[in-house]
Amino acid sequence: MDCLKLPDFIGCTLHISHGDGRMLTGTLVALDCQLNLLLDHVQEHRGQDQGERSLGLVSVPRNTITSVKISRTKLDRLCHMKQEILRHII
Amino acid sequence: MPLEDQLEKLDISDTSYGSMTAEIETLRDEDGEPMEELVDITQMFFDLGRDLSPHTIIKDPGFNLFEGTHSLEVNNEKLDSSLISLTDEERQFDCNLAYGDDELLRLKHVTAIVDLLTRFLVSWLNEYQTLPTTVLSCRYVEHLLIESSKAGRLTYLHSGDPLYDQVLCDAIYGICYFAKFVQKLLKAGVIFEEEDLNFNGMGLDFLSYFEEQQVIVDRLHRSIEFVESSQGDKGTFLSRLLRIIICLVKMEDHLELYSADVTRLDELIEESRYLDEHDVSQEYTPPPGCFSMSIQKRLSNRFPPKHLVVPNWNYKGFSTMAQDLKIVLKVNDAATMLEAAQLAQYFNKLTQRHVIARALFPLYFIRDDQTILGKYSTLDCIHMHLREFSAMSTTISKQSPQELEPILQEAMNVLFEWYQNTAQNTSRYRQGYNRQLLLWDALHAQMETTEFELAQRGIADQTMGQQGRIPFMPYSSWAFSMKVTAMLDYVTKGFDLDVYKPFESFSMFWYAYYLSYNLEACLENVQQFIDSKINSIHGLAKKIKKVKTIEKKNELKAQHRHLMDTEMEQLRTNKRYLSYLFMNTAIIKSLSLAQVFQFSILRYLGIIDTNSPAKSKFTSDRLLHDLRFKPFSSIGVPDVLTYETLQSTLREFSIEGTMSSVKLENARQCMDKELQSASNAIETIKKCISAGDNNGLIVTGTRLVKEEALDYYNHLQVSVEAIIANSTTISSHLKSLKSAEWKHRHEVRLNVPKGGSPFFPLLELIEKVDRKK
Repeated sequence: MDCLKLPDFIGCTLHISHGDGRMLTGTLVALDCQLNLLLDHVQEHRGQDQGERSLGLVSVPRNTITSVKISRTKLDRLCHMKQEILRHII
Repeated sequence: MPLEDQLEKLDISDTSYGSMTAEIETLRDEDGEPMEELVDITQMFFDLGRDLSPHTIIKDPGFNLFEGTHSLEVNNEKLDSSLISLTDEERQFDCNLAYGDDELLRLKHVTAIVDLLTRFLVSWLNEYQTLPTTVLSCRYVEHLLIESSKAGRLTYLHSGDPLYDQVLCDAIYGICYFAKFVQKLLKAGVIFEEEDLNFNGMGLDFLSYFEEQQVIVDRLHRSIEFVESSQGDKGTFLSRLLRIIICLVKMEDHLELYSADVTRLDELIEESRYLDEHDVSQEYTPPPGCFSMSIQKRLSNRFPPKHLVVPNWNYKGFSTMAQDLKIVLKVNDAATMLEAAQLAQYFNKLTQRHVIARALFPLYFIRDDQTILGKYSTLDCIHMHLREFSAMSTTISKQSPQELEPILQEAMNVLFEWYQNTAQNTSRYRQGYNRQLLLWDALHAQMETTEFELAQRGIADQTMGQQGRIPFMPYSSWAFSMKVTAMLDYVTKGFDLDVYKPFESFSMFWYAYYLSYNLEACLENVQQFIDSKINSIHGLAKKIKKVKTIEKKNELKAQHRHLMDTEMEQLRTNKRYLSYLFMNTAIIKSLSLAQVFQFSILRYLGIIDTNSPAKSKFTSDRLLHDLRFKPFSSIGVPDVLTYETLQSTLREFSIEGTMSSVKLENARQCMDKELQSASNAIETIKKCISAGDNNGLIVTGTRLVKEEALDYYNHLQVSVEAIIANSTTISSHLKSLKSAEWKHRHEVRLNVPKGGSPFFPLLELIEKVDRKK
């Protein structure tokens, strides 16, 4: 994972948790230097009793984020892809 | 092979995350079953973020940051619908409870819900509100749509009270069925989402699985009977509401069955008048929590939170809708294509009609089975249009050569687009004409080329010009007149939409004058041809007398009778219609020229000029001119108005030098003359519209839109009078107006007088507003 940089996560599906118990799952399309994120195709999960809903394009300010998660499969693939690219360059 | 595909084949089982620590968690589905393993990368993410330099933005190359301005923002009260706070009543609202302690209160609650939902329809359709803030804010609507969609059939409440379980449900299904009809109109592509109407259904299915209109109507009748029998007079208001809903449900027949029966629309007008006069909004209140913003919080929602609409006592809105629909449905009675075209021309010209009426018009006129009004084929339609203008009795229309077929098909497409455009909202109307100009120009060129080729093969018509016989091209004459009319509409609509600044008015009015001059020349050509045809039929009668042999006499008599029976009437009608077109064109020409003179007088006073007052090193007057005339730049005929031509015209109208007082007087006299001539033409047309097309003088084709056409000309008449009054005001102060101080304090604005035509605003003198104050 050391080889990964922030641009590598563009296009990845991220799972962002907030302090209020909400989790947003969406595709990362942009981020700025303060780590405010812009996610597209966002699904909002609000616990099992309240189900989920889609919100579209959502801006997530850095100060609302309590955790950022990514699927293990995707992360593995990212790491490998990056290693392969680096190996080709070297 | 792409790198990602190559990586598909790699073994990734021994992936190491290096020195980064990662917490692993399992994402589970609704049933708690594991879906995928998630790795917590929060720390790594934030650590990487520290290395970013200020102003850095990392983004997907395919993503436009401008789109980001439309994003919702988490934890921002104005943008995050999850933060909508709900009251206890809203949270705990139960659709299967019959709210109200006694029967009367329950009746009042149900009446209030149906009343609000009905008024919300007006807010939605007439006042551009959205569904989630109106109809969909009702918990019962949301509940019933969700439950019915799951079941694939209409489901009902189980509160134990028939007012809720039957009457309320029937009313809601009626309203949703009507909304489904509106959705269908929107999907047909005539009107536009967000521009004409908002149909944000929050992902709910508006009865797509239910097609039986009669079932909805029968159940509403059942509910009316129930309310009347069980509630007596107390239920009158509710049963009236249910009657309105039946009328709305039946509205679909105008699209599905192409019904022109306006009985239900008349009933809608009558019921809405009754309700409008009986404001009982204070008497009935819905159960607490019944209407709320909660749907915006619970369901998928790509929009920021919006407060609920508080509707006025707006039942008159249904009357507006029904009246406008009645105008549109009159097209069914069009006896000629001229009448249909005049209806299209006038019904939406001065007043923007109701969105449902505008959406229905083209769909009703041009049907799914490719017929026009269910009576004519598209080819019949275009032939009728042509015959009713210039192609009657022409060689080309009689022989109808094959080469013309694809062109006529193309003509039909352009004409359909024209009909569709007449139903657009006021802004898109002009935008539509922008596109129409190119289509008509291409069609004109195509028709001209084909007619020229046909003429070389002897399929040609001729008319008498000033220099003897000249070729007459009936089809391209029609295309040219349609094109120039579209150009004139485009130019004058610009004044209506405030597109032009006062300094631009000289060039646009001059251009309107120039276009109407060209149109007049085309009309003269057509008129000459029609006159020659009428004369030749009359000439035949004289010839009969001269012929000596009985056989020849009989032959000519038969020919004459045939022409009298088949051609003469249409030729005479066309001649009278052309007389109307001449007058109509003369009005535009005279008004435009009068405005040009008015501008010249104001320019003489030094208060206005054709140059832009906002100087910039990035632009010039020439560039601004080219930009203004860009929509016409590719038009072949008439020639585009170049900057040089405009400047030379301006010099011709300029009131300067030693003879300036004479020139000024001349300008005023010319202006008066033009306005008087416009006024006379308007009066004549108005009289003829009122008298109908059998008045013997002119044919206006406005039988179906008499009121709307009269309204249009009344507005023009008011404008003529206002221009005269405005000119008198300016002239009476001519001496003081020349003083430098006065000039400094005054400016010109384009203003539409009350009741005046928006297409010919006044060049009015006003005191400058000191913006520094």
